[in-house]
Amino acid sequence: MINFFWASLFFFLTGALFYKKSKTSYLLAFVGSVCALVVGIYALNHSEQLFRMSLTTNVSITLGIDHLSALFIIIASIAWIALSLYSIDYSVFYPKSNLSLGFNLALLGMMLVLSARDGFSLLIGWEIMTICAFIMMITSGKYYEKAYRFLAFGELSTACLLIGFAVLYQSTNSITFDALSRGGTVVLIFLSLGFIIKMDIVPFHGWMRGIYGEMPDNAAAILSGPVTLMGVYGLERIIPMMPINDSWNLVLILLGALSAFWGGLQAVAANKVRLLPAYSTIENNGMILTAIGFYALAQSITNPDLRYLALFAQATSIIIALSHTFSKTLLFMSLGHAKEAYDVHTIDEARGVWSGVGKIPALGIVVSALSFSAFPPLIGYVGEWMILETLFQSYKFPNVSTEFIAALTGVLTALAIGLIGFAMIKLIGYTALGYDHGRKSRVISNRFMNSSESGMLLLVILCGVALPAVITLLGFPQLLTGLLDVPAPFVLASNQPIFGVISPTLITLVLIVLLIVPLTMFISKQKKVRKVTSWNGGLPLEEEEYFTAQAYSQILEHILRNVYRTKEVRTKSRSAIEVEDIMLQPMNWLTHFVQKIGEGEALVLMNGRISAYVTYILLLFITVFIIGMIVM
Amino acid sequence: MLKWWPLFGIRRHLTEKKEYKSPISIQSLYGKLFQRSLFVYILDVGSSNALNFEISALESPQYNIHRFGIYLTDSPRHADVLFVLGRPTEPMLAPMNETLNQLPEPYYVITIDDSFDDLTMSPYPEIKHHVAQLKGVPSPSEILGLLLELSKTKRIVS
Repeated sequence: MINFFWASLFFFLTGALFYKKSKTSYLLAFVGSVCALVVGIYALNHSEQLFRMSLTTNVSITLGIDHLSALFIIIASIAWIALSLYSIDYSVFYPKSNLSLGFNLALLGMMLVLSARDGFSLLIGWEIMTICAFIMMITSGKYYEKAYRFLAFGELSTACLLIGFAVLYQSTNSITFDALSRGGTVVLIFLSLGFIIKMDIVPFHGWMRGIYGEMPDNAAAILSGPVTLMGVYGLERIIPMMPINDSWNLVLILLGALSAFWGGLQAVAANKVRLLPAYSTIENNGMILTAIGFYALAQSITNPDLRYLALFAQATSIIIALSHTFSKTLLFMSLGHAKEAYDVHTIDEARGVWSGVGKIPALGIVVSALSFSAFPPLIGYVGEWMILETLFQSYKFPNVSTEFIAALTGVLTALAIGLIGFAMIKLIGYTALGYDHGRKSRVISNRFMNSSESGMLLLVILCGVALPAVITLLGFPQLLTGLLDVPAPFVLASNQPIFGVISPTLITLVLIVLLIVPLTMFISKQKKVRKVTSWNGGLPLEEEEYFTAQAYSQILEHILRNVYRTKEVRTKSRSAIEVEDIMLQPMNWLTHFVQKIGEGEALVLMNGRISAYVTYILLLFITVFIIGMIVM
Repeated sequence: MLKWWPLFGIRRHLTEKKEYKSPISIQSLYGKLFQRSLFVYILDVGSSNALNFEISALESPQYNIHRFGIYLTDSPRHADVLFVLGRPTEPMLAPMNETLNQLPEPYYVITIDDSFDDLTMSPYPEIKHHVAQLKGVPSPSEILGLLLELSKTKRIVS
């Protein structure tokens, strides 16, 4: 099996070398991802060390696989397979760029992260992933400033991890994952902060507003799906190993709930094709963080009642991570397909994907967005039911503070789910099912795009329908049971004795019988309808006369005008309503502050006078010298 | 002081008639389909303003077309009859075609051409379901008679 692991790394590296020939490069990424999938499936039941190289007596690079890495390798590699296949067609739009170089190396970095067994190899993979995501971002040759913001947050995450592992090394003399159990609170806080920043949890989401609309679609999909999945993996990896800290767990839960709520709230007001899914990523990762927090909290209390809850919360986090990665990959692929075919950026401009672009991207948008808005029997429905069910059971915790925070979290999460439903209806209604107003898209080669989209689409539906199989594969067969006439593995129970149950398989059967059959009969007997364009007094509709996506969400933007800071901006020709994300204010202030300092520094030091510059270098040298003396 | 000319008007019965008669006979395409209800959409494509006055008189208490189940509508999507007033001018051709496109089947089209300059103006365009074409400025009684003829209503007396 070790050969498959090296083969996947080899194919990613070769793919990176062939970056001048984009299609070959993506094909190699595809082969590498398939190898990674094989490794993941094998590692489900086998735990082994793949590589070890000692650097010093205490520090070594160790790679290995076990059940947890296997789960995340499988989830990530399926997304990689779909994305690399999709990128073969997509590469046409970025012919002379380093996009495929960044893509392949980012995959390589993620593979290293998932197989890392110590802090050093984790950091190597982490940094490769971050820098390559940055390379993918700047392929358009513009928006450097916005991309640097991403890099700043990425490096902040790396810095947190670095500090965490440094403190760990100081206290235990080792940076392997086995030493984590002896690490203190500082290690826990810094390491989890590093992973949380990567998950784009509020308030660490500041970079996305500017750059998400501008980068290539496969880069956006990688950043939103697999890269944030690495953060989830990191938390899932360290939290069971680290010593218990209940206060920090409560902070995680609250941070997650706040993030979910804020992501949902901002997704509603987003009008760019990519910004809406980006905020939905924040929302989903918030729910994952909440689930992880509950898992850690329930695990810390030795109560048999809470043991099942801990297991359930852990399954919740992994199911939402799986659902998010699959659905988000599908959503970004389908939206990217439509966006490139129309060559547009906003939701309003990308209308009528079903008739204007194609049925497969439209179906992709519909199914993935329905999955995010918790439509049964899709996988997103299972995840969101599970998180609410986890929160409902918070009464089992012995102390009041936990119960209070759980209730607050429940409110925020429920609001987030409602808001994201609103946002997704806006997205589906305008892009996939909207009127195309007679517009036709440009012809693009879409064989690979269509095949990867339809594959992912089937997977999102199948994961929900065949939930018992997925839960068993993830390693939680204890959660499955039978109830009334539904046989044993088809019911997912949130507690034993039974507290709440769902059975997406049964829902599918019921849906087929009660909805799809009558619907088909109804449609087949329907009269023929002549369709005409909207009536506008006999005149053709102008672009600004359509009912816009912003108008759809304007009611919420008006009611919550204090939160959104809704304001009307009037120019000579038109007026528009603008909203802002107030959570970005601290970052904007910081950016402004740094820019001012930079300008001031440039005025003082780089003013063309050589003497000032020499003084600067001299001062710097003396400072470094003094620091060196102190440290030595 | 009483003028002499109102006597002329009273003698000629210039206002409402006792019986609403259609000035022309209409070929019925759909039988008695619109006997109880007829919705009319008015489209002015370049008439003199006189026709609009005659049409607005139809809704006044003197003619009261609503008692026959005839109503004017604001959207061609609700209309059974399209009234085209005037000879289409160049800029109104596209809106007229769009209006015809929006009409639900079955429908009638009646045109009233009040232009007196047949030589210099372009001929009337071909229109589907064009059942009647009036010339000049018909009186409200005549327009109402035309509508009653179209809807095959039995009651045609004032």
